Amino acid sequence: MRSPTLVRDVMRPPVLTQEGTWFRELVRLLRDHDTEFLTVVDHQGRPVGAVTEEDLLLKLTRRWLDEPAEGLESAGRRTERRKAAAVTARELMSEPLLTIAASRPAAEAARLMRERDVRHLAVLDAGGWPAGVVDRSDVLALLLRPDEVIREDVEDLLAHLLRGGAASIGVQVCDGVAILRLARPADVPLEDLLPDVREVEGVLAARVADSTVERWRCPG
Amino acid sequence: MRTTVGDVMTSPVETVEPDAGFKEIVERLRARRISAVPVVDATGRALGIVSEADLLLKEDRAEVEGRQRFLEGRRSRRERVRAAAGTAAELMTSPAATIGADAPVAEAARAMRRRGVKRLAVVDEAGRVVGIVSRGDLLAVFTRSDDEIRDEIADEVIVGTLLLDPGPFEVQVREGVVTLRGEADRRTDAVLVARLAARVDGVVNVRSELIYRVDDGELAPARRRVGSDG
Repeated sequence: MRSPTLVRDVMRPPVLTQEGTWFRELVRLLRDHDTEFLTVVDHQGRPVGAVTEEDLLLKLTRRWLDEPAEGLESAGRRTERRKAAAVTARELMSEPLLTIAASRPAAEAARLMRERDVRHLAVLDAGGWPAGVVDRSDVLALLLRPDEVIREDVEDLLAHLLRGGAASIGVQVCDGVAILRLARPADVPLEDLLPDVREVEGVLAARVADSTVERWRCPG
Repeated sequence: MRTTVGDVMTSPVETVEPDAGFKEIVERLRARRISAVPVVDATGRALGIVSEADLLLKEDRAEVEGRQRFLEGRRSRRERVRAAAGTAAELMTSPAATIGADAPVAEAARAMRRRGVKRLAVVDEAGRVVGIVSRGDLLAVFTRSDDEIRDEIADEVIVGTLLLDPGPFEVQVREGVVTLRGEADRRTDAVLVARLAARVDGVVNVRSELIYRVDDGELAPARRRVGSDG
């Protein structure tokens, strides 16, 4: 089977900044590098945190001068208030930094972003140094693979799972939707294969063909 | 001066029709290097916004939808395949989060936060899309020059709004961080100068070293949730 796309294949270069960098310079860095995510490093270059566009925007959404705490304040509100008044990257940044190794599969980065509800991950090399950043759009690129390439991967997967049995299965991919059918009578539970097929890169949905009379061509 | 949404928005804007397919949307986003696009009807009114986040959610939904589709047999196959991948109308977040072009940027920032979105469709009185404004666009207010900020605080806040003699006040601005020095007549004047300076567009923080001759008492804490707080 084709080896999976790795984080290092889809990541972009990191935009690094120091803990002492001032707010306005952080805004410029975001704009000049067309990014939403800055990796904050200490004086040795070790990653210590991240500053995002969202952090900077708190300056506009919250009053930050002399604002009294509103009774019992939640930790989240307190953090927001502190960030809204922040001048330096150190005061603004989120810790700890959420990271993934460059050698991990890109699909794992997508999963981690969904699970932790974040838009970006800092990518580290084997030594723990900043190697890049991945965001949701980098991962979206995985979904754009041509149907023909996806189909070959699905066929390889089935051959791997079923050995000889795979020959009895027909695979069709239309606009990212994988459709399985029995090409000749055989005792293969197609439904059971769908979860694995859905894991193939670029597959948006997978199902079993409604009937053997369904036409053997993509529509449109 | 209040920077408005119209000052910082992207216009004209890329839009898609409700029946645009999943891959078409992804390709348009990538070709234009944008992360979301308004979905508009034939008259240009905003129906919703479809973003990268909506498209990624689709990955999670695919499994459930694939199963449902397997059970229903009547729609044409073509319709079904298309629906399995999703159209703009099915994928979009609706109704669209919108704002008028004359709203201040702080209001746009609060609207984004309330709706949990990264951008707003900018609409005219008839609801037609005239632009799109992203979080990055709003941050442009912080690129205002130090001189402009200084002049606004000295001329418009101290003299224009508070009607004070500018003589005793020294206003310094460095990278959007304002330092106030000098001796005000009254304590409330000193507090007000700092508080209003903090609301000037582009100000990152205010460090007040103002002193005063007469302590005329404490000012009530600033009211929260007023239209133009900052």
